[in-house]
Amino acid sequence: MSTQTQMAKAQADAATLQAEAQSTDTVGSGISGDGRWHRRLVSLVVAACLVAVWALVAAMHVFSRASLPTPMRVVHDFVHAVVRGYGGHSLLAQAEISIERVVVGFVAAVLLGVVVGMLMAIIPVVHDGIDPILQFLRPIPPLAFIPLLVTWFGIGELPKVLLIFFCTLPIVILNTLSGVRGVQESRLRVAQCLGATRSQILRHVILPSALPEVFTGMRVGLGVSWTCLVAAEMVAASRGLGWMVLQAGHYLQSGMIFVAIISIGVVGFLMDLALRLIEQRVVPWKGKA
Amino acid sequence: MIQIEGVRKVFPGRAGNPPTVALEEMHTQIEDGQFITVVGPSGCGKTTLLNIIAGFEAPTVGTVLVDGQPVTGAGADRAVVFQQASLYPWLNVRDNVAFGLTLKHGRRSVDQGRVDEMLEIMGLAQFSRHAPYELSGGMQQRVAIARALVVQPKILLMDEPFGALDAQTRGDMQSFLLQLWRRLRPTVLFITHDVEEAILLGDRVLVMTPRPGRLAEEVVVTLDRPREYAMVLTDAFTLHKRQILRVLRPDQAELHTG
Repeated sequence: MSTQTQMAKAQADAATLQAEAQSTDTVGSGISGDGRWHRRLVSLVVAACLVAVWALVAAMHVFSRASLPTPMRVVHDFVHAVVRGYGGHSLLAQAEISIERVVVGFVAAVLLGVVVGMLMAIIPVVHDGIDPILQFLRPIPPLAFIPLLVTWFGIGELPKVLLIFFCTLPIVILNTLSGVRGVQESRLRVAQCLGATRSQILRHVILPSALPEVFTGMRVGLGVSWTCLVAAEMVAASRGLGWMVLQAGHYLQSGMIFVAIISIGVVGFLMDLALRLIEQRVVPWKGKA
Repeated sequence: MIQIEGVRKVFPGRAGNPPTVALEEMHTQIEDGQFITVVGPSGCGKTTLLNIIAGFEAPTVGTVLVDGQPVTGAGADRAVVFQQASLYPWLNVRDNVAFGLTLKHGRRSVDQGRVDEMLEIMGLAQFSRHAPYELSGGMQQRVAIARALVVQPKILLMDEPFGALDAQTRGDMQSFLLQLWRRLRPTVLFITHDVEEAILLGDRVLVMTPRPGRLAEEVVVTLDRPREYAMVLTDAFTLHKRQILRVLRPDQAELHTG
């Protein structure tokens, strides 16, 4: 496999998380520390080149200064946002409020989603009742719900948390469902032969077997949560990173738009990283067995 | 004793296909402590037979009796080992082996001595804290066998347990299994598609043929115990092999001369 493909894989595309877990695994164990270092170097060089091109284009004034800021301008605005704040709150406080919204909606969706997914997998009636609703809701873009939520709940915290909750819930449910359904028959049979009761099989075989897929659902769900939140904040909010993008846009502060967008990317990446670390601790066997 | 009485298994045809007869009416019985091997190509119903004895599937017609009691489902008296070790990756080697005891007595009251002894017998003692996926295929299969045997089942059902191993490991595992069987004496039903393996291990070989799956021949193996690999060079072994291949490869005329 070429380096580029590996790197593209490492970009954590939500749809291929499972495959990614496997490929980084085989590569990780086969390649020495040197190889990893080289790959990191390539990533850094490419990123540096991109910034250089950006600086060049900005310096040439191809676009007006108001629409394309220079990298230095963005750094300046970043420092400004961190130290003096933007819209009455420091950048960190803006990020914090966004993260809080995501965490509340996301955790609620995971807790309920895992339970509902398990029930759907085990009890056919529950599945038949809920599955059509999920299939109906799934193709609707989250943004479509925002006007309704704003009409019903205003622009406070509740509509944002609810949006995140409802957009993440189906993903967690469906992944849990497929995790439970995908339990290898032989794992169940081994337990049966050892005299396991139904509840023992559920607790000691099915639940842990489904965990890797639950985590896949959680990682995809977290990505979706973050996207939903930023969208919601851009439509109806008075704080948060998404609000910053829109607000800076209104005042043509392109440097600040960049700061907000980069912050959204960094926070999203860090949240995924955190979840990945938890995943490695909880399901170290993922992709290996 | 396992009695297989008129067992027949038909799978209903799907999407307009005719039903498949997986297992044609079958009668046989297996005495306690016997090592029975079942050999045949894929599609001969050997796995179906094992699944019925294990209680994973119900026969369409007929019954399986274990010590006079009809089999109605899986039970702790019949342990199964599959081709894939099917270990639980969230448990270490020791906890995998202890799994059956944990289910029965609870985590705290597991007889640790028994687990230790089993790990010792299986040569797994120094790997007890390892994760299953850190072990080689042969070692994983040992853990699976240990997990099955630690609850002291009377019957050990093995579905091509060494089918996924390389030839060397496979040979090692065969002699290892024979030692284990001599020591613990469970009744073994061992399924394989390898004729040599079937002869080398079994007291009796059930030879099955496909379409429809049926028991075509029973061969009583006259090789002495303890068995060892070099026995494949003896005349008696060749004789048994010829006997079995005649059934499995009726088109090979040379098998039928001499």
